Formats: sequence, structure tokens, C-alpha cells
Amino acid sequence: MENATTREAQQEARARIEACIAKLIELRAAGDVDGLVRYAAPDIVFKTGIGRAAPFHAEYRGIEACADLVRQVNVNYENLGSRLNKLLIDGDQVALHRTTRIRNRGTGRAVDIDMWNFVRFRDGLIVEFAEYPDTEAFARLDASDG
Amino acid sequence: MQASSVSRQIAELDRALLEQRFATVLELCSKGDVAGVAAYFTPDVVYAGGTWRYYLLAQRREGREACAEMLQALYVTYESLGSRIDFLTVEGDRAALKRTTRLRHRGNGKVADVAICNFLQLRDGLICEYSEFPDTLAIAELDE
Repeated sequence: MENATTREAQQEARARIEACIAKLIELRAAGDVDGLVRYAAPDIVFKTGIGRAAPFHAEYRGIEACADLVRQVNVNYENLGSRLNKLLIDGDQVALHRTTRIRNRGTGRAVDIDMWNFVRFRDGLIVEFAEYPDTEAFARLDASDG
Repeated sequence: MQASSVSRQIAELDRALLEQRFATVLELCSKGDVAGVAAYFTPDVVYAGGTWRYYLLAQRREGREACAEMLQALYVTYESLGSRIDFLTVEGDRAALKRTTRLRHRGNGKVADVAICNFLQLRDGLICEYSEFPDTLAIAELDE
């Protein structure tokens, strides 16, 4: 009985996180920064070890810094939606692989970019969000000569 | 002891064993030990691709022999100088990890720390499917 209850609780927790990820993808495509921020813990950290140019050149700490990052990203790029390819939920840790269509607002070019995200939750809110995109595809998106 | 606590402890133990296993496989990679790595593959293992564009890894491979041949050819060009696992997420028989691998291009001697994400599907403790998503620009710079 206890095992069944535990399993049900785990399944519910998984379903909650799965719904949260789907919502985040939807909010991202809508460019809704305030909506995204509602899922972030005050001490959230955004990491990408492979970003080279602004705004992906640094680690961002805290809800305000992360919200500003998303606003800067929205100025430069338009997110045209994502396809979720893989989703792994390991307690409070999540790994996801998505293909996101991104348009550079400057050049008008749009490309599909593969990326992995590693996300940590605490009490239902995101405390760490790491992003590892296909950087060569990003460079192609940003190239001025097409 | 609560059932949920026992369940959590079993999950943590499984996770620790998997983490140790992946670390062992990455160590074998850094030794260029193809047979050692292939011993962790099922006979019908599939390399499902990923985002490598510039080299052998751009192509899907099926079977232990084909995957071993790909690794062998890869080690001719690149030398792995070691890996650190930064993130590991495990759900049932699937795992995703992000690692930092120090790679040396044997042709031009360049060395770089490259972020690589892997997806792995396991069966009976062996890898039956995997794919690789490296920092593609870092690989391109290493190849220049």
C-alpha cells in the first residue's frame, strides 16, 4: 500500500514537472518574461558554459538578472516554438533536449537549433537553468553574410 | 523505515552506480581503449547521431562493430585528455549527461575543453543507444 502511495506521489510530481516544462516552452515562444519569472526561485542561476557573445557570455544570478537576460534575448531573437525531443525527470533534476526555431530579428534569418537544458527545481521553482545549444547553428543564425 | 525513504535510497544507489559506470567508460575513452568501451555496448547498440557535422559522428551507426569502428577512426584524429561529468540526470533506463572533455587534435596539436551533452539508453546495464551533442563551434575551432 505504502509502495503504491509512493509511486503515485512520484508520478504526480513527475506530471507536475512535465506540465511546467511544457508551459515554460509555451511562455518562451510567447516572449512572456513575467510569465517565465513566476517559475523562478529568487536565487535562480542561469548558466551556459559555451555562450560566446552577449547576452550569452556570462552567468546570471538572481531573478532580476535572469529576467533582464530573457528581455535582451527577446530583443535580438524571436522564438518561433520548440519541439521537445527528450525529457528526463530525476526527482528535482530535469534534462531536456529540444529543437527550437529561432529567428534573428536583425537579419531575418530563422534556423532550427538543437539544445540541451539541465534544470534543477526546489519547492516547485527553478533554482538552476543551464543551456547548451548547437553553437555552430547559432553562429550561422548570427552571420551577416547569410 | 518509510517505503518512500527505501525507494529513494535504491534510486540514489542506482544513480551512483550509473555515474561510476559512465565515468569508467569516459576513462576508457581517454585511454583510446575501443574494446574496453565496446564492452559496455549491447550487440545491437545504435549511435543515433546528434549535432556533430564535421566528422564521422555525423552518421548513424548500428551494431557494436560499426560503433567500435567509428570510435577507432575518431581516436585517430582526436585524443581525449580526460572528462569531468558536470550534470547527470537519470530516469529509469535513460540518462542524459553534460560533460567537459579536454580534446587534442592530433593533426594540428590544438587542445580545447569541449562541452558535450550525451543521451544514453540502457538495457541490462549496457548502452543500447547513444547520441552526442557537442559545442559544435568549439569543435570547428579545434579542427581549423
